Amino acid sequence: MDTQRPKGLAGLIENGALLTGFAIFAIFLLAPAFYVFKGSFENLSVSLVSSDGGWTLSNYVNIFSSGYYVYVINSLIVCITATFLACTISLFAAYGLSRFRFRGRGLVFGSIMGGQFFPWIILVNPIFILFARGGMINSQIGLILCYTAFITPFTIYLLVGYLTTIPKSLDEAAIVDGASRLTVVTKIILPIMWPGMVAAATFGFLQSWSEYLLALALITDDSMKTIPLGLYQYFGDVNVDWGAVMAGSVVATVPTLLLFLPLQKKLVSGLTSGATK
Amino acid sequence: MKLSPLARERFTIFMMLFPTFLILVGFYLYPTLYNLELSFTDITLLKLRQGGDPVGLANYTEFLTSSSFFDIAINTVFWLTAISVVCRIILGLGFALLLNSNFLKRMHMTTLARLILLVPWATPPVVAVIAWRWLFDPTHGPINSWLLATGLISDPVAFTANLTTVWPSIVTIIVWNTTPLIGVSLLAALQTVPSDLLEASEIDGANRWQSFRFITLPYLMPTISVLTLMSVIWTFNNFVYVWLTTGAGPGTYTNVLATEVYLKAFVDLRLGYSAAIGVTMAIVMAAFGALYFRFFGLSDMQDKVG
Amino acid sequence: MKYLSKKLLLSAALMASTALSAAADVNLTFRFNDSEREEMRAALDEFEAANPGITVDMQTIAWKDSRDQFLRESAVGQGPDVVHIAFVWTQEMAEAGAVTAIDDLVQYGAFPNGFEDHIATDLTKYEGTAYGVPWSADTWAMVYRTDVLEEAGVSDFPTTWDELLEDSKIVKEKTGKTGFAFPAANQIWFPVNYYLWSNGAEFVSADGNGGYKVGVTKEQLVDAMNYFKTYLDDGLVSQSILSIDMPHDPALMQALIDGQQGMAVMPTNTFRQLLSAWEEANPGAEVPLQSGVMMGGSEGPKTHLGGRTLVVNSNTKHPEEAWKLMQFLNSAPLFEKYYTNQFPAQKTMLSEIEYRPEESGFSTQLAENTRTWGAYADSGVGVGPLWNVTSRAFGAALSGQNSPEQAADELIAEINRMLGN
Repeated sequence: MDTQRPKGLAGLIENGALLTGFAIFAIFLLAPAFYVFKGSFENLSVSLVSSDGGWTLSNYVNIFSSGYYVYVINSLIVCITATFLACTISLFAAYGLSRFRFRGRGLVFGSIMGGQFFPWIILVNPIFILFARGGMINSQIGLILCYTAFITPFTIYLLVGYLTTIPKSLDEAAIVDGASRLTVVTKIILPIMWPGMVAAATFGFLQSWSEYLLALALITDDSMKTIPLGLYQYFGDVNVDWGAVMAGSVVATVPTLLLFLPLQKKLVSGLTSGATK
Repeated sequence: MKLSPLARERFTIFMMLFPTFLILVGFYLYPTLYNLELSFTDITLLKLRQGGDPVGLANYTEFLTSSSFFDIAINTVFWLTAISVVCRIILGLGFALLLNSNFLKRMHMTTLARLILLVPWATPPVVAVIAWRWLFDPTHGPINSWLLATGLISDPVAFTANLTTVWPSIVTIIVWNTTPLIGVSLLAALQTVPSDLLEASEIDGANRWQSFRFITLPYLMPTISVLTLMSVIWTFNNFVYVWLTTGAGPGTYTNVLATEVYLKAFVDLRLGYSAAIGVTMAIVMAAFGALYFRFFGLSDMQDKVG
Repeated sequence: MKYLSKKLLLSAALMASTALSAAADVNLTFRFNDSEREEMRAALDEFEAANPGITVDMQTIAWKDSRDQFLRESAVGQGPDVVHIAFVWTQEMAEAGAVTAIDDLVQYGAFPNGFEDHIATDLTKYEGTAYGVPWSADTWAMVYRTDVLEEAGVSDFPTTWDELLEDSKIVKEKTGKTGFAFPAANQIWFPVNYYLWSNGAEFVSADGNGGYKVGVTKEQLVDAMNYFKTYLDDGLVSQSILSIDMPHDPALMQALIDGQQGMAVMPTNTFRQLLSAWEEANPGAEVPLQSGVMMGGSEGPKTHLGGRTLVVNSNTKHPEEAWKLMQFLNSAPLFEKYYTNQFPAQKTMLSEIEYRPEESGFSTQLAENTRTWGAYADSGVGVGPLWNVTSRAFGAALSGQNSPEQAADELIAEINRMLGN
C-alpha cells in the first residue's frame, strides 16, 4: 500500500495524528489501572489519598498475612478446573453438533444460545437450594460445577464456530481408515483446534475469575473462599481498608494478565474465527 | 454385544452431548422453570421455608404497570445497552484501524498495543469501578483537575452524581472494561482483508473512505454483527457496573432491569416479584436474539442451527 | 474500659463450670462479620481453651450480603450455629423461623446481669418472644473539624438544623470550604430520620388503635427534602455527595482529614477510623476533631440506637454449646480484651466505659438522645424496605430527578402500600 502513503508535510501531520490518537487510547486504557497499581504501594487507610506520600509494601504484607493467598489458590483451583471441564465438555458437544445431523439438533443449539439470555442473578437462589439439598454447600466441587455450567454455552458456541472452519473431509478420511470418533476428536481435531480452545479457555477463566454472587451463596467457609469474596471482605460496614482493596485488586488482576500474555496471539485468532464463522 | 454402525453412531452422538444435556437441564432448565413458578407466587426470602402463595399474574402486572417501568426500560435499552454497545464498537473499530495503519505497524506498536489492551480486559469489573469512581471524583480526581487546569470547566463536575453526566460516566466505565475484546477481535478481522483488493480499488481511484466503506467494512461486518449480538446479551443482563458505580441512583435515575432484579431479590427480598422481572428480561432477550438472526441474516449461524 | 474484678471472677467461674459439663467434641460455627477478625479469633481460642471438647470455626462474609445469605441457608436447614446480625434484622429472622427463641436457651444458663440488662431488647422481640441477644451498641453523632470552624469564626457548635445550615453558609463564605456534608445516597436514611424525629415526625407511627399509619405529612417530607436540597442548591456542598452512599466514603473522609470540610455526621467506628487516620498523618499534633450531639428541631435531638445482635440458628444441632458461646461473647472480658472497638449492649458495662475526650459527643448521644426504630419494625414493614424507598425518594428529590412534592407523594404512597393501607 506504499502508493498511498502521503508524502512530506501531509504525511508528517498524518503520522502525528496517528501517534496522538494512539497515545490518547493508551492513556484511556491504562490510567485507571495505573491508579490502582500506584495505590497498592501507598499508605492508604480511610481514603484513597496516601497519608505520607511514600512507598510501602505493607498493603501486600497485610493481605497475605491475613490469608489472601488462600483465596488466590482457591480461585486458581476452581477456575482452572472449571475451565478445563467446560472446554472438554464443549469440545465434544461442539463436535457432535457440527458433524452430525440429528433430530433435536436445532433445539439443543437454541437452548445453548438461550442459556446466555437468562440473567444469572436470578438463578442464584434456585441453584443454592438445589446445591444445599445435595449437600454441596462449602464444597469446591459445587462451585466448579456451577462455573462449568456457567461457561459452557459460550465455549460451545465458540467451538462450533471454529469447527466449521475445519473441513469435514479430514475426519471422514480418518474414520474410513478405521479410527474411532474419540480418536478423531483427540488426535485429529484437537491439534487443529488449539487456537479455538485457547480462546474458549481464556474466556471461561475470565468469566469465572470475577464471579461473586454464586460464590457468595455457595461458599462461606474461609478456607474455601475465592478472590472476589476475599476482596469484598475489605469493604466493611463502617469502614473500607483501601490499601488492602488496592493490593487485593492488583493480586486479582495479575494472574489473568500472566495468563493472557503468552496466549494472546492464539486467543485472537481463535476468538475471531470461532465467533464469526 | 455388537451394535450396528447406525446405532453406534447414535450412541456416539449421545455420549458427546450428554454432559451438555445434563448442564442445560440442571443449571438452565430447572432454575428457569423454578423461577417461572416463583414468578406466579408472592414468595419472599422470609417465606422460603413455607413457600409462597399463588398470585397469578400479579407480579407481572405490578411490574409492567409500575410508574418506574418506563424509565427502567429506557435506561436498560438505550443507555446501558444501545449507547454502550455502539460506543465500544466504534472505539474498538477506531483502535483497530489505528493499529492497522502502516505507520504504527512500522513503529512496531502492535505488540505494545496488544499488551495495553490486555490491562483493562484482565481487570475485574469491581476493580474497574473503584478506579474510575476515584478518577471521576470532584475534589481529588485527576479528570476534574485536568479539566479545571485546561479551563474547559470552571467548577468541578460531580460526574457520577450529576443527572447529565451520570450515564456517560457509567458508559465510560463499561466501555473501558469491554472495548479491548472488540478492538482485538476487529484488529484480527482487519488483517484478513486482502491487501490486493485494497490496492486495486486505489488504482481505480477510490479515496480512503470509499475503500474503507466498500471493501474493508464488508469484510468486517460478520465480526461486527456477532460482537454486537454478544455485547448486547452480556450488557443487557449485567448489573455490576451500574450497581457498583451509582447503586441505581441518584434516586432511581440509573435504575436498569438487572439492578431492579437485584434490588427486589436481594434488598427487598421479594423473590417472586424479582423472578417475574427476570422472566421478562429473558423473554426480551430471546425475542431480540430471534429478530437479530432474522434481520442480520447471519447465514453461518443459521447454517449451524440447521 | 474498666470492669470490676469481681465480675471477671464470676464469669471465669461460670466458664469453668460449663467446661466440666461439656460433652464430647462439638464443632460450632460462628459467623462474625466485623473487621476485627484477628482479635475475635484470639477470643475464640480462649473460649476453646476454657471449654475442652468445643471447637469454634469462624466465618466472615461481607456485611451487606450477610442478611440474605443467612436467610437462604436457614431456609434449607443449614448455616452457622451462632450468627452476628444487625438489631433490626432480628425480627425478620424470627419471622422466617431462622433463629431460636431465647426462652428455649436460657435453660442452659443465664447472663451475669440477666437478659434485661441488655439495651434494645424490644428490637429482638417477635410476637412477644425474644429471639436474639443484643451484643454491641452504636449510634451516629456529629463530627467537627474545630480548626475549620475557628477559621470561619464559628465559636459554638450548632444545636439546631437551622444553625447547622447557617454555620455551613458562614464556613463557605469565610473560608471557601465546605461546612456540613453528608452522604446523600443510600445512608441519607439516617440524617433524614434524625431531622424528622427532632421535628416531631416519623415515617411510621402507631395509630393508637393497635394499627399503624404513615407518621409524616407531605408538607413535613417536602420540608425535609428542601432542607437537605438547600445544601446542594446553594452550592454549600459538592454535588458528588449525591452518589456517596456512606459516611466512610473516601472522598468525605479525605475532606475531613485535609481540613476542607468543617462538619459531618457518622457512626462511632467511622469516627475512630478517622481519628487514627488523622493521627497517623499528623503524629504528635493536637487533634482538631471533636464530636457533638445531633441537631435538634422543634424538639430535642434524636438518633437511632443501632447495634448488633447475636442469634442462634434454629437449625443448630448443638444449642447448649451455642449458648455457651453466646455467654462467653457477652462477657466483660471479651469487650475488655478483644472486641475493644465496640460498645457492649449491656447497661451495666456501658456505664463503665471510659471514652476519649474526642468521643464525648458519641457517649452523650448514646446515653441520652437515642431511640429505637420502634413502629418501623413493630408495624411489620421493617427498617430495610423503608430505608430503601426513602433513600431512593430523597435521592430523586435532591438530584432534581423529581420535584420534592412529587417525590414526597410517591414515598407516602409507597409506605402506605407497605402498611397494606
